[in-house]
Amino acid sequence: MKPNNTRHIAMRIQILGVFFCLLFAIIGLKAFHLQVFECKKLSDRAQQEYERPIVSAGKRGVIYDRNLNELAVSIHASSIAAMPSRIENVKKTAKQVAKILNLNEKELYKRLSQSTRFTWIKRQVAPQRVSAVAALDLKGIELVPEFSRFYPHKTLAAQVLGFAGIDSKGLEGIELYYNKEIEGVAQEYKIMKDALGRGFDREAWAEEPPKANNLVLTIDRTIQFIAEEAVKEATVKHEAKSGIAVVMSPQTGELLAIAHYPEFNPNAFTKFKSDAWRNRAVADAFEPGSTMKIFLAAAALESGYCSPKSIFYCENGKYRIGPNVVHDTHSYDWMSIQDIVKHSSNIGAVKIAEMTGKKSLHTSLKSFGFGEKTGVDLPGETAGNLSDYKKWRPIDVGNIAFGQGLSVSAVQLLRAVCAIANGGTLVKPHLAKSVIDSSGNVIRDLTPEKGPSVISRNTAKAVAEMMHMVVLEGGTGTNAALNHYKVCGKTGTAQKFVNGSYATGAFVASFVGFAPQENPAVAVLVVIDEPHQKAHFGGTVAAPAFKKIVYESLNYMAIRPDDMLMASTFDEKEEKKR
Amino acid sequence: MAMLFVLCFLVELFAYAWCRVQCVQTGYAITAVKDENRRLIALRENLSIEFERLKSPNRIATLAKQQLGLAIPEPEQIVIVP
Repeated sequence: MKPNNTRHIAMRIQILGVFFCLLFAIIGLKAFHLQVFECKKLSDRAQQEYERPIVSAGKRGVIYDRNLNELAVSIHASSIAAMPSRIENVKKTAKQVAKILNLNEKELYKRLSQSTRFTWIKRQVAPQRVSAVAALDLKGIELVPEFSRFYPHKTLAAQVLGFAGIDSKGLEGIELYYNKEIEGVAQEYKIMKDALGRGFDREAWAEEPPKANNLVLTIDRTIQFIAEEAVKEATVKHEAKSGIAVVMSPQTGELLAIAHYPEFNPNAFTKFKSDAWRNRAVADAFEPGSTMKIFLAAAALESGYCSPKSIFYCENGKYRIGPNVVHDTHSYDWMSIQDIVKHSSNIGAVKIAEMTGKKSLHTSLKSFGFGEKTGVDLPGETAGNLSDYKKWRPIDVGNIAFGQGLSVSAVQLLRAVCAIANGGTLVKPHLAKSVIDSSGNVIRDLTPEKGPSVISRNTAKAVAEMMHMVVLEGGTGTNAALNHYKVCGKTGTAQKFVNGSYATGAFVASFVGFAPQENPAVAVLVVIDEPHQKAHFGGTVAAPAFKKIVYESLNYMAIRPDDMLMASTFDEKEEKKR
Repeated sequence: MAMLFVLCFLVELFAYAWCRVQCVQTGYAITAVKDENRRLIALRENLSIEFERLKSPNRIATLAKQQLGLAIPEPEQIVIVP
């Protein structure tokens, strides 16, 4: 080799050496820059590629009935989400997932093609569909653990419980009213996947989330069932539009049951019309009809103008008040207050109201809580309507005496009856007993304070006796009588007030009462809306349902039958045998 | 001496790599067990709901009336044990 060539090659080697040295120096500097100056920024970016924080609403507390039976629970449910940037074949993925989840393939493809880092595909999916999606093992498709609200008894007490939405927020009923008490503790989870798509370090997912507080209701699951069966039977039998039954403890105001028909299933509330969700026992007002006569009698006795022995002339079935004429279904002449209530005489009621005076009547009705909200722990309560007595015309006094021209809610009416049942105390109706922690310790007692006394014990006793006469032979409520318990009650039949006038052939039939007369255990109201015209009276439509609810509830509560009545029934049977 | 130093360095390097791999594998194993725990918790919840459903008054009443021919007792049939 020539020396010239050798020198040339050596120079080229030196140039290459310098070039590579420079190259390595640049790489080294770049590596140094990335490792030292850009380290945090880049590691954060890398982490973002593999991690996705998701906020979970947390596990909602359980709603129990008074005997700690579960009425609403939260269960583990999976939701399906996508990380579009990590999906390998968007079209194929969209097709497969849409087929399993019954979604529109084109819409899903559009969503998965977007440049977002995270998107929900479907929330709270049925377990078998979740398993099918998991079996596909698709890159970029994630199963996110969440909680779903579940009502094990389906339609039972649905309007009371209400329901919670997809984000575990209460939307109706108790779920809405006590949302803050039972809502779950929100938690942030991170989805972390390695290069092979395997889940890693998901401790937060796997462990039980912090437990929320639970709510204990005053509702009794069995009495609720009894009431629902009875109201359903009455509504269907009489081809009525709807029905309500409310059961309350007269001494405490605890609501033992609020039954509605038609019912709805809170597990699938979107499949029912929103009208079916409403708790009509607190949200709807109706004209009470003749059930109002018991409060009229109480007002009359309490005012001191009348005594239980006072008698009134009932005008033989027709009584003129100015241009208007009030009728009775049968013609009566002289009757005592007791008989006026027993036979539900409208004219007699008007005469009592006239004697009591409108101011005194208004004051008494107000003290029973009419025209004001009861404060029951449910959303959307109506106050009903009781206008100022100064605006009452003579016919208005008459109308109010037999329960027209004013409106009440079912809970309001039953609370007022409880005041008669318990000797004069106006209790506060309530649905929640206490808030308890996950170990069952009471955190907050929700029992309200004792209410005011609105009538004297003697007046309450006298009115209760009048109500007992209603279910005896000759009264309007004989269908509510029980052989072995002393029942007190009152029938009500009111024409419906629709669009400013009374609708022909549309009635609200009701029956309200309590049992046993001495030391009452339950007060019950049954309201049937628009029963078939053939039998639209409270005594025919609502009284049998009342009887069923009272008998089965007392039986369930192990309330001892009246010994005297038991003995007389036994004697009657022996007599028949002979 | 230099060889020994290089050898020690390599052994330490491999030991460190082995430890890291074991750590990651244990992480996967823990995750799998936690997943199983979660699955069992969900199963327990489902069983408890099923238990509630089986105890529901609606189901009991239907079984009692239709399958066993039972009825609500008359007051004379009730014996209250003091």
